Amino acid sequence: MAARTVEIPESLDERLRERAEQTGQSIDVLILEAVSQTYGAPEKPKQGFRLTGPIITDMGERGPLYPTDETPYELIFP
Amino acid sequence: MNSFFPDVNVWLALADVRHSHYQPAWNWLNAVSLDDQLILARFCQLGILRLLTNPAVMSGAVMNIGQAWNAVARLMGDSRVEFRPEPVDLDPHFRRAMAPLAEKPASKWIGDCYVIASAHAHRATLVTFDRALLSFAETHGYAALRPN
Repeated sequence: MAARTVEIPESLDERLRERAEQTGQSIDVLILEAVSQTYGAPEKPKQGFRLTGPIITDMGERGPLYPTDETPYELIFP
Repeated sequence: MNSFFPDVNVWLALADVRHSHYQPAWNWLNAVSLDDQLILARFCQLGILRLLTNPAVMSGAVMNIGQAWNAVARLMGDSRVEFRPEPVDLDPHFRRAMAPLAEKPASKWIGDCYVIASAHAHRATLVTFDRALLSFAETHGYAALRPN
């Protein structure tokens, strides 16, 4: 485990204390969770599994709005 | 370790054999090492869920929401794929990516610049089939590639 000292603004420290009281978790745990969410959790064990093919293997017709090169944002966020 | 950030359309090409870029997508993925990382962000997760459940896109292969989540889970089961939430410091990257387009009204670029900024914030190479997006990213100094 690495040790790191970080100065935290008073207002943020107060929010951390409040959150710790509300959740019953330690401030250290809250900080670790936040950092993990932002920069990625510790690497998951590499099981060596890799996809070997597509999930949809049915060669049926595509829909009229099926994309080609571009992501169709208008379908995702109409 | 290299990190890659496929856009929504690349995830769809990996998921669906009917995609016109299915083969290039898989050629690229098969060359990605087990030590490398594919980042699946919430934005792309939402996108693939939306497309897989849209009959106008998927036609007879349309999925219900449960099936679409299972499909996403299959993708995430690959040990190279990692879900990453939005970085807290994304905003300045997003604004910087969009700065050259400040005078444009085109909304598509908002989504494109979001994925550029997300890839950059994750220190990942954007992967896209969109030639305009690729060109824009490269012109402005972002790491990007188009599977061939």
